[in-house]
Amino acid sequence: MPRSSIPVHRRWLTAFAGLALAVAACAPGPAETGAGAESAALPAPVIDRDIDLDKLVAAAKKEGSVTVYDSSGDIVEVAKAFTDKYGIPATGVKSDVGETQEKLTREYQSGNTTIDMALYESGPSLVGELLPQKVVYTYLPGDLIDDVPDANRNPLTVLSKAMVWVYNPSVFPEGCPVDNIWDVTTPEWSGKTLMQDPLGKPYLIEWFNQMASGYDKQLRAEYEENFGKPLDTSAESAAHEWVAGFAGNSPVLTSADDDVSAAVAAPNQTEPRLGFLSIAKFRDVKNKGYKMAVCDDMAPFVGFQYPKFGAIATRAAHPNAAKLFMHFVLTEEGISPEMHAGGISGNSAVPVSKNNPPGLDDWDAQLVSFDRTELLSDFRNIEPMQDHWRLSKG
Amino acid sequence: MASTAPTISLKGVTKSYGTGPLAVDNLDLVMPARSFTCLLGPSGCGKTTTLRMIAGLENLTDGTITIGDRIVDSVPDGVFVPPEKRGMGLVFQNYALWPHLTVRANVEFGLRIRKVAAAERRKVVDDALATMQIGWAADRYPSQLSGGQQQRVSLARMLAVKPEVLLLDEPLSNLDARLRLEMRAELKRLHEETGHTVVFVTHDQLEAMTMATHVAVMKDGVLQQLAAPLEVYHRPANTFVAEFVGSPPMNLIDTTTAIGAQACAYLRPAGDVATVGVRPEHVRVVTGPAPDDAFTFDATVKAVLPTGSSWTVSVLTGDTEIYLVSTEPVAARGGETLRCAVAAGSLHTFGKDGARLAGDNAMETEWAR
Amino acid sequence: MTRTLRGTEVDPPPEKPPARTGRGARLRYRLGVARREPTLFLGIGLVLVLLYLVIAPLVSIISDGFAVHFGDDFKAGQPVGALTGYYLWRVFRSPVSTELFWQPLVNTLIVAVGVTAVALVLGGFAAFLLTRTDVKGRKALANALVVPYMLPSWTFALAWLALFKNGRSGGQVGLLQAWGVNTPDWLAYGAVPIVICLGLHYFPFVLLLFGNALRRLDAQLEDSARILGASRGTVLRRITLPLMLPSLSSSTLLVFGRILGTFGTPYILGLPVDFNLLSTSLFSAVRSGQQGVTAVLATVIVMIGVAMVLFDARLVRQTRRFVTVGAKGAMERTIALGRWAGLAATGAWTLFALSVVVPVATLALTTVTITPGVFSADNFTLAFWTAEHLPGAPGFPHGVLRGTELWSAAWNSVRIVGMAALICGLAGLLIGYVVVRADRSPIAKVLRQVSFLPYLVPGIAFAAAFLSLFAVQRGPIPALYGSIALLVVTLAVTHLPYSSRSGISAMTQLGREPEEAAQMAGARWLTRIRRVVVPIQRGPLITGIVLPFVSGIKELSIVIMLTTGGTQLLTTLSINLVDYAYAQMANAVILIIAVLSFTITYLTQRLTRTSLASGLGG
Repeated sequence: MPRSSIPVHRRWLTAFAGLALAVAACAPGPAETGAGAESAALPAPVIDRDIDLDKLVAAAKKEGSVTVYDSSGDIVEVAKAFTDKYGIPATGVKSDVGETQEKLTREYQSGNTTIDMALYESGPSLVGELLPQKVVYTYLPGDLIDDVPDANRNPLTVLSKAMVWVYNPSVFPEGCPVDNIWDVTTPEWSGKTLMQDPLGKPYLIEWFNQMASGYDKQLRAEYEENFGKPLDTSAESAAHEWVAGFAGNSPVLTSADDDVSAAVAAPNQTEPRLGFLSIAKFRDVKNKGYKMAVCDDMAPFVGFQYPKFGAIATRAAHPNAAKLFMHFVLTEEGISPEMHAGGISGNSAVPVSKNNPPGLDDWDAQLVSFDRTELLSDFRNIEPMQDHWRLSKG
Repeated sequence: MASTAPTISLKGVTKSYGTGPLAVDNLDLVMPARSFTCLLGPSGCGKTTTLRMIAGLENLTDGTITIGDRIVDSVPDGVFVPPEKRGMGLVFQNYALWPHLTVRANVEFGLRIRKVAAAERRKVVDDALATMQIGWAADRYPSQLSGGQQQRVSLARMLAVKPEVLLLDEPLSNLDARLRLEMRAELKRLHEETGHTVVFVTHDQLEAMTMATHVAVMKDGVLQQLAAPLEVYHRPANTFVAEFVGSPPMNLIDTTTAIGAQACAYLRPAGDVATVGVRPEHVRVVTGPAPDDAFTFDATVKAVLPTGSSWTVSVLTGDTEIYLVSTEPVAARGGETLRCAVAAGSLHTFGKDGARLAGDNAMETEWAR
Repeated sequence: MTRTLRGTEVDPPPEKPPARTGRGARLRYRLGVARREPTLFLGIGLVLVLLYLVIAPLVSIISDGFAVHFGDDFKAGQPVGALTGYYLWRVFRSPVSTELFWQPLVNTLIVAVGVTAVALVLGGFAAFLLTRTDVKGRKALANALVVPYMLPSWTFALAWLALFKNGRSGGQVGLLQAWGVNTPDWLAYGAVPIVICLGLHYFPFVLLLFGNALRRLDAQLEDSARILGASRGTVLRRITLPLMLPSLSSSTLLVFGRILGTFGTPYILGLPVDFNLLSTSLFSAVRSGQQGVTAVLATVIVMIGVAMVLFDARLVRQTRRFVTVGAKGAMERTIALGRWAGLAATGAWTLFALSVVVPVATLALTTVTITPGVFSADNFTLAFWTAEHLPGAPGFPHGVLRGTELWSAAWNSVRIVGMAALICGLAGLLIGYVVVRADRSPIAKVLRQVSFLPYLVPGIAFAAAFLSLFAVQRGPIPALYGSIALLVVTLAVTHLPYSSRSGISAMTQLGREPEEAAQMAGARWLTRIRRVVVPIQRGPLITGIVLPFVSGIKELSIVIMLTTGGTQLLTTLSINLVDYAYAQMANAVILIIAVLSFTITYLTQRLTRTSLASGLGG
């Protein structure tokens, strides 16, 4: 075991190299089914049946402040609204899912907690790691619980969001140039599609996995529809085949949706391009004069809907303020800043956003719907799917 | 402070730097009160280490050091008095003045530590600077002074705190020849005036001879001889001391050489002589008949080196090269033959281990003066 | 007069003298000495702290690579915590090993070789001009050509994107593309721009190291060869170059080593074309929560770093024996450039323009334009600096100078880096003190070596190692994650070699005598430190503080992994803005860092009349 000293001595290096090679030669055996601590049952949510909002507000005020992480910049506005309403300084921080997960975990382990609560967009790692490791827990305010459908309760869905294929209507006045998802795997679109790098965005990998588990049939049917022959593949699923085809077709990968929207829809942009991005970017149509529309007739779906979950850090420094904040984002008042750019609240009492982009009228029919029973299996498939993406990119 | 100047005694003092030979090896040494003792030896002989151990800057591997009746270092008894509490003054080879302080502040430093009142401080500093004739530089920085001037400041700094013991670590080695002479006189005067116990480290035998009351010759961490300077010169304890003290050094002739065997036969000594020694100034060139009580031999001149006041001549007899120093002119040229004589009383004999056996009545031998 | 005092006979050699006194008594004596003379305790304390801060993180991260982590059990087929070769397999042998490790390794080597070559050519050219020729404005040039090193290294990358960006990475295109000049991918992203950008950043490094060596080289050595009939070319080949070899190899390996741990530039320029270096691969492993893979990658980077330094040490040791550095006897010999003078000066100033003026001006320009490359009045705005509300930037909805983000990041940067630098400076001086005072004792030797250890470890690997060690409580040391203490400690440890080097050389130069003189004058330890050692060493102390500060304030590779919401620094703020595609504001923050770093360097030089340039080579 290389625990004894630092690698400064050459003999040590040689020994280490030898050991490394010897151990590295052992590829992992087949995964044991049901092995591992993380498959322990998902902890039950904490339901605050006897919630007394006034007491909670008082307790939260005493704590003084609250910090909330979210992968959307809108959290800054939510925090501001929260501060305005309760007079408790709230900080909203925009942070990648991966970064949030790492920091939540590290902070939990170290006990130095700065993040009180997170709005978190990666279901698999939430269910596979954060919840079973007790880094965070699910909190349901009792006064709102009746409006939260069972399916949204564990983990708690705060908001459903959508990623869709978009085009530039001034470049394509006739409408979206593609009507089938398999089109983006053809040479015609090589190098002309954009999306964030799936390796940095867990919810994109999640999309691939959800397609693989629930949409195999539709994808096969559309393949045959598009190319006139049945899909003949050795890949695990039609989705795997699509991912391989798409990844191998030189998509432009970015680190932010803003780069996707700017490349597709910026006012001075004339190239034929397709982008896959969050519907939140439709705000730029108004703000920056972007020319952007949803590929609404794309088959079998124009995109993917995914939940944004809410969870409170188990060791939160401001536990009551975090609870109050969670309560807040489950109300129309609290979530509306995030719904400026579309979305459906996890609280069925909150009306659907009026700002969902035109052409996206029926989420359940147009988008890959989210199957939360697959979360744990999706968690296990994150790395294989990432690897599949990596290897297909060529 | 002269009245309280203490005796310094070292007993079984040993210093080891981990690996390698001992830097100082079981040294027994007593430096009497008010003596001026030179620790003399080639570099690496342990003399500076010894001085630093007396100062407390170097700790002992073994042994005991006593200053007066106070034990300052004792390994057996676990006693250690830190340098700042030993009441000694030390002058460093490179003076070690503090570059960020003026001359006055340098000299004043020790007094401030002792919390001497400002007025008193000023007076003491002025006195010390005056004693060293460097008062004019009080407000300068060390970097603005020459080496000799810095040395004076360094001495003033040492004297200001009125130590009982003065330790000097090759203080003159960085000075030019003239300044060195001047400072030698200065130090000797200082010692005679104040009567401190002085320990002086040098590798320059001339310095030791001219200034010391006692000379301790060291080699490889071992004391070779402790005696008055002239005693060391005239009765060297062994071949090392004989060769190290005196310039040009004593001629040491192996008794296996022809001339060595002759000299030995002439002396008919009691013991087992391995080496015969003679000081160059005790070898005389004779033109007339040789004196009765002298050993004579013929030698070929290799070179004559006049110095102005004397003539150093290198001669060869057989394969053996011998130096002689004459106060009278030697007119010979290379290749000529000279007749040389050595008074019987001025021949030294040394045994196989290099230790002195007998000889040297030179002090009493009239013509060899 | 002839009285024999004592000991006129040679003493017989004693048998093993140190054993005469018992062990117990000797120990008691040594304790007595140590009590009076804290150097030893200080030394042992420093060694222990350093060993813990340097060795423990490395051990921790290496062992991380061999134990199954949470959530990986079903992949490894072993329970959590078991000894496993799974991560090694994944990094070195699995189907994705090419993506994770081998390709990044090759890319790292390509970039490192390329950057080193560019830096050597540019730095060597500049060093030669400045030390050996009569090129006009030598003094101004000497100051000007060090400036690139004061800019954060990824300044160049952002400027490059602002100029060359094409449609490949989405978002707005760069100036050239906007003007209708098509920039191919190979020019806009990947190896070529990374090599150029880092080369421009690191050439001052070579200039300083190589220039100092050239300056110290005794011209008489060359002259004597000329007198013996050697031609100018022969002298260069046979005398000058061999003598320059140590500094050449040192600067080569230093630059090479830096590339291993550099993060910002490859991250910005490599991502669009999926060009990964080991450092970016490590970073993405950290960010995707793959602790095992992180550990293995960090270990590999550390090993390459160690190998480089050992190689350098060996090379220097081999060449040292014939290197004569005539420190004082050196004579400056300048070559008259004659009709080449104009060309040389133009070349040198062009280098300055390319490495400083162009990137800074480009970045400054982007911060005041809405759409890049469009020079119409309505396209210019100060909104990105001062607007109270910026539409379309929900994570940072106002100009950089508004709100609290910039100011709290700046305050964090100054506070955290300042503390680290202060610790560095003091620790460096103390290390120097102990090394010189305890000379010849094993403590001094160990301390000297241990304080250089952080040098072996590329920054980003160090950060990963610290993260691994200090994420949870270990014995008496509390978990430091999320606290500024972690940042301070990490920055201090990684920058310690700068300070301890300057501390050791300053103390060695001073020697122990000034302090001993104070000791003889009756001063106790604290008095000596306070009244003699620190005042004399004021200059080196300031250098030992300012150098880590200047280097730390623009540090990204290390802090990117360790900052949390409460401890955002200027550099991480800037890279976050890059991530969210708020290019104008990211560039504005970079400019602020550059100005800060430059101002502090300049002020220190003016105030202390020291040249930091001479120490930057560390």
